[in-house]
Amino acid sequence: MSSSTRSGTVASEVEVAVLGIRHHGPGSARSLLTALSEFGPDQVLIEGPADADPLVGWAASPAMRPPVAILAYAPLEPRRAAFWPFASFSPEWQALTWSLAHDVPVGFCDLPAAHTLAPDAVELPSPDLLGPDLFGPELLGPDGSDPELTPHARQPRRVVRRDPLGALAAAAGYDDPERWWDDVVESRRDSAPPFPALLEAMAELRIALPETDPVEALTEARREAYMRKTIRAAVKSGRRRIAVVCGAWHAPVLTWPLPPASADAATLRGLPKTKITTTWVPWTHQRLSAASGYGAGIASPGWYHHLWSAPDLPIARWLAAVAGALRTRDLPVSSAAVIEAVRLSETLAGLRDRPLAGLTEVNDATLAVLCDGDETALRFVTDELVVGQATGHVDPGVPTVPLEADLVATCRRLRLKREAGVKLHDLDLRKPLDQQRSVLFHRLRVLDLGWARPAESEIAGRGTFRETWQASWRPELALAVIEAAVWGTTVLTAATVKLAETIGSGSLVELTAAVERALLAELPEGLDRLLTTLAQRAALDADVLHLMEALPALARAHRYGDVRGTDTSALAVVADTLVVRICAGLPPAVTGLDVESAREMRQRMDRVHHAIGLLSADRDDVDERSPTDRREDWFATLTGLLGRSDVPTEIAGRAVRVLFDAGRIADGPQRVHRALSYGAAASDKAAWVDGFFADGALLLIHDVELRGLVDAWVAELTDTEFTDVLPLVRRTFSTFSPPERRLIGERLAAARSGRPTGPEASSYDLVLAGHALAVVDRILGGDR
Amino acid sequence: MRPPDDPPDGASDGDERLTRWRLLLGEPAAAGLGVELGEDESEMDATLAALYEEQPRRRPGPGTDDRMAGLGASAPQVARWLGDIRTYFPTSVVQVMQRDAIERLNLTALLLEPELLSTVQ
Repeated sequence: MSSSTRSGTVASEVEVAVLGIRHHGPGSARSLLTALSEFGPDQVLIEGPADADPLVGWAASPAMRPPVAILAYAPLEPRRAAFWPFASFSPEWQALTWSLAHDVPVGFCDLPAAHTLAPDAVELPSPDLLGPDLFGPELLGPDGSDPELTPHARQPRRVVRRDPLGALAAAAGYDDPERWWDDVVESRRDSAPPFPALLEAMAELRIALPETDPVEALTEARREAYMRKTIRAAVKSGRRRIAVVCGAWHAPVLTWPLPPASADAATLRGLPKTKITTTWVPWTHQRLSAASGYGAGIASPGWYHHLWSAPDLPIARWLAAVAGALRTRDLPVSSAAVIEAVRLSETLAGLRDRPLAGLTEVNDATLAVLCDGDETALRFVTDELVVGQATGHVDPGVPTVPLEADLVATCRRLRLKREAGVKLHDLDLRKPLDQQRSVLFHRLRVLDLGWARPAESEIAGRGTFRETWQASWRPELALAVIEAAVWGTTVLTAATVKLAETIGSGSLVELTAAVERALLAELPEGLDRLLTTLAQRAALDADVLHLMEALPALARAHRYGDVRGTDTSALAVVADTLVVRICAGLPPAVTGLDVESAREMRQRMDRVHHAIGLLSADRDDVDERSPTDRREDWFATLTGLLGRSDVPTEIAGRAVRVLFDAGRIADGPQRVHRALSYGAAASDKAAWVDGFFADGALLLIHDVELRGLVDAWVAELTDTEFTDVLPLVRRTFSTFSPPERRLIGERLAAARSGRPTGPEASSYDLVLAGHALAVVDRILGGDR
Repeated sequence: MRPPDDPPDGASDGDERLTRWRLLLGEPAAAGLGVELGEDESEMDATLAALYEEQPRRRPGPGTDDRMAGLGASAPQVARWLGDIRTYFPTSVVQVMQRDAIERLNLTALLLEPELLSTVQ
């Protein structure tokens, strides 16, 4: 049992110092370093996945800056993954760096990820509050977000087990466990760290709260069995002074002498195993914070980081930092206010019977004194300082998938930083650097890597050369990069291959969307293949609805191409084919539609009309290669709809409006009159009004004749008919803006009473107008 | 083009016409038209406004409209609204409005409540 008897020689006594810590607790970290220096171990074992041992050496690299995390994933199924995060103030990280700095062998002692991530594991182990951050196919929310903390995880024993020191602090009346620890350490007579006393307390807790759930009990047993196995192995290999750094909860069962190995071997027999890969990834304070919901985090990483880096006068330094942050937001904070806030925190602590002021007292003082009771300001402080925006950095030499390496290199070249917190990028596509950044963001979108999203710009100018992106790096995206790595080794190749996948399976609409994306992401190889397939698919697709849905994306893509200088002649040819087929297919498609379908058809027609406008837009000079102007064909199709009686009135109304706006029919008002007067049911007329007047507030404001016609129609309705059409017409008019409606009301009231109705010029001063018109003509680019 | 029904009383009277326009255009036009609505008409207007006016649905507090501060807010309000529209409007139109309500105000979840299901046409 004892290695000294087995070896036969009188080996020196084995000493195992079990140092139970609070995960991510700066107080524990400080006490730990003192204890390690005093103990002088020849081996350090840290709670963490044992198969991450090869990664240990990287922690000493100066390029590694916490917060970072160990990521373990199954290479064939990257969603099966787990993270073990470390902040600079995490005791585990401090133990790691201390050991490397003092040349002490160091390794991990917890159950290997190969077992915890195996597909047929009994269950994914419930995480310690401040332990591994576990993902799994069923644990990840549908959009990759964290699920709610389950009731299962909220049971009292689990709560205590997740943060036993927090429980002890709460029992002592503290809600800030770190300050409680500081008090405990400061108030001891001797300067010995409190680990042995803590161990006794934990032993009592374990007896008082036995695990009732068999699955939980089994998981805990396995982990602790493995930890003991590692300790035995270290002893067997000749170590004599072993320091074990683990969560306080596990401390009592790891003390020397350990129970016989056979029991542990039995517990660990037959565990499912899977192949996994481990690496380091950057982490963020935000992710560490408990706001992530899964309970695997701490609420105030920024505060803890402060406690770690400024152990003397923490309150005063912190409130000074808060004042500084508030001043950057132009909120006035005087030095006198800071002094007041410090005094208030300490007073509050006294009132609450706490020897040391903690985060609650500090926040109360901040709100009352520095923020003047303003909750918004306090929330800003919380986000900026209490949680913090820190992002870690990983040594580029850490082995990782080639795609990640390419992404890192590209970001460096384009001077983009992957950091937490939301950053707005306003890109001017005429500048080469911004253009390349845009291309990168678009490619990442093709790969479903949600780092940057298109956003609304605060800058007013929205030409096609301006793009705004909202970028926010979340640590889980590291996993997304690994997943995307199956497509290729660089961002360009991966995006091309991924896009090509859509060719086989995509519908017409998906294909045109893919064309748009391929243009924006500058994937020339993918684009050619896409266009060929698109042309074929369009030729085969008989459904005019599909063609109509597919056209707008093509028109937009053509437009981008013009702006970005890409060759879009092939695109124009395909678009042209689509337009021809739409014009041919529309007339039969509009018969026999019910109200819903008529509405949808009308919306499609609007989009097609807009798309055709885009395609015909830059037709300055006659170019034989450019397709003929299809607008005339479109107008001819619409005109053909007018004479028919089987077209839904909403579509008929729309057709009249489009042709009227384009100046292709001269008798617009007469048609309005006819539609409102003859025959049809009131609801049909209302549909016609909807088709004609949707987005037509200006018509009603300025066109006296049209307004008069509609006014007459409204007046001539019977009461019954009026209530019939009221909701429908109200629906149309409610899309007008309030000022537009007010103006229409004014004009109607004025017409009623015969008053002159404001600026309705009946004649123009042609001389004055001529100058202005000439300038407008030049602007619109016409010496035509 | 007089319809065969009884011609509306005072349809040529300006106020009646303006009142109709007020109902057609909604509250924003009230200032321009310069006409006040009677009690019945106000209720009709409120019913329409609840459905067709853009309202800040997220905010609980006092809405722009006393009676219908946001249709999407609660089941009782929806039930009341459904009753109101049947009072003022004919069946065919009610169906259209109900469809619009489901679509615009995301009432699908609310409509699964049993009390509401029985009131829906």
